[in-house]
Amino acid sequence: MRDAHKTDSAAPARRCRPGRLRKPEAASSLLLAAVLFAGRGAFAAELAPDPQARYSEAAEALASGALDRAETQVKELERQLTEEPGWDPAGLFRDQLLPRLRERLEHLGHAEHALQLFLDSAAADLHVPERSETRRTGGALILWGETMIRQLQADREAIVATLPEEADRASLRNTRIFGATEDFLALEIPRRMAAAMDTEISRFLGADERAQILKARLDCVKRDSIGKSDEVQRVQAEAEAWRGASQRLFTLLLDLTGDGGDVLLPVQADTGPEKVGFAFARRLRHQIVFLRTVPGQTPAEKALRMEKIRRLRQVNAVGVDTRLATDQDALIDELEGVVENVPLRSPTPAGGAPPTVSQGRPGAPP
Amino acid sequence: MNWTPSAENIRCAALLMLLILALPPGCARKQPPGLRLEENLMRVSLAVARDGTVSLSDDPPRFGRLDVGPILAEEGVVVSAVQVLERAGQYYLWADGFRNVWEVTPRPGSSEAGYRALPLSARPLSGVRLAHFGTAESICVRLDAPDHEPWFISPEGKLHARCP
Repeated sequence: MRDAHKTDSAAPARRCRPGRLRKPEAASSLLLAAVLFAGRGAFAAELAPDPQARYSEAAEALASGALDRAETQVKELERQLTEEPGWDPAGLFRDQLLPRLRERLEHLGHAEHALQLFLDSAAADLHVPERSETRRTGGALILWGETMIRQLQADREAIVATLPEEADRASLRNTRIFGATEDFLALEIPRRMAAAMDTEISRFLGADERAQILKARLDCVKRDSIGKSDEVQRVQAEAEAWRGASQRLFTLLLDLTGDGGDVLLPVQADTGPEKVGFAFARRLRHQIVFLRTVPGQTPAEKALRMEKIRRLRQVNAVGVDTRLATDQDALIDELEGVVENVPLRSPTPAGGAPPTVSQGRPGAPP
Repeated sequence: MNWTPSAENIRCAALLMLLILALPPGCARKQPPGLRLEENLMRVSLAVARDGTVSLSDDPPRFGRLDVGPILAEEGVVVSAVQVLERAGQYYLWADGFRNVWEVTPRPGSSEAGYRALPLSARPLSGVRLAHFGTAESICVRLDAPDHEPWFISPEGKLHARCP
């Protein structure tokens, strides 16, 4: 083909007599030939997907939680097998692989629908308690938020647990709707809490500082006032209680970013709440070390990791805003860079080759 | 009663004899039904180890390695992976830069396999894809390549333009 290209492109030049080489014509012919050749090359490089390639695409889409894409591929595969049954000589796709994919899609569709109902209901029913309902302080509101998150998280896990297969549970955690529930738990609930305790936030966030200022004033005026001293202790105790509750909440938010299986290294519950800021940094470093050992990732895996990083950034913003953790944006940038550098691998290596599937072992789809 | 064969009777008898002779010998006795066996490996890309072998399976209870070094040497290429497809116990191998598709047939009761080349092209090819094709009674190996009509390897191991 390259030889043909050379011959075609050289032809106009040879037809010209010496000294009369029409450069613009020759150049345009070369350009045209190059474009045609490149175009042919581009088409030539791509073989139309065969059933194995389509099956592989569908399985990959299913694993990455893209149920619509998986459904499209399954339909295309069914159409291809109907139009040309020769592709499935022993009925492997028709009798074994496709029914199993269909079954998985159906189960995941039901679970996805249940998650949507759960999210709608949680969003509609979530009301921050009024001041009259409870003695609303910063600590009490945070406790309410923590309780709500844990309860809703448990409800969501109950829906996930309705899927008997671990592979399906992992797929569900990669769906868009599951991501929306994560956003709701990790971001929307704290956002509503923050809006509700607008005044309390500033009061309790600054409690530590106010105690210091009060003490400084007391030192200045050298007055031995028991009442004032009591107030300092009370404010300090309130600040401590708020900090403890807030740190538990922040740890919970960090744990939520670990949901989603092995997309990123799952985070472990931290022990010392006073170390929550350090724990965040340590978890990020663990993720970085882990991802540097990953030999390759599919585009879908990369997209999931980038989505997790987006959530980590939002949790980091919560930590910074509430002064619970130092800003870890630099480490998150580094993590993002590591994810960018993990080599991409095709879900269908070797001209569309999927993982091994043997007709003798029907229970082993990729 | 005296019966003498007519010319027409002789022609009929001769035709009948020819028909009997034309019947294949297998028709005389019915072949016993075989067991249904489906053991086909869809195409898979296998990494070539430094010693020139590929692992067909290293998960218990099934283990298997295949030495593809001689095939790579004959093709004169160095590759990191080969595409492998199994059809009823025989393996078909392909890698970018090959001129042939290779058929590997295990020798029962030994740890050796015979191998032979099925020539596809005089120049190295790339982007060839292996697949099964045909019917349950006659499974071909189909080879698709860019800018080329597909090839089919029949159950008898011959290259065709269609799956017979």
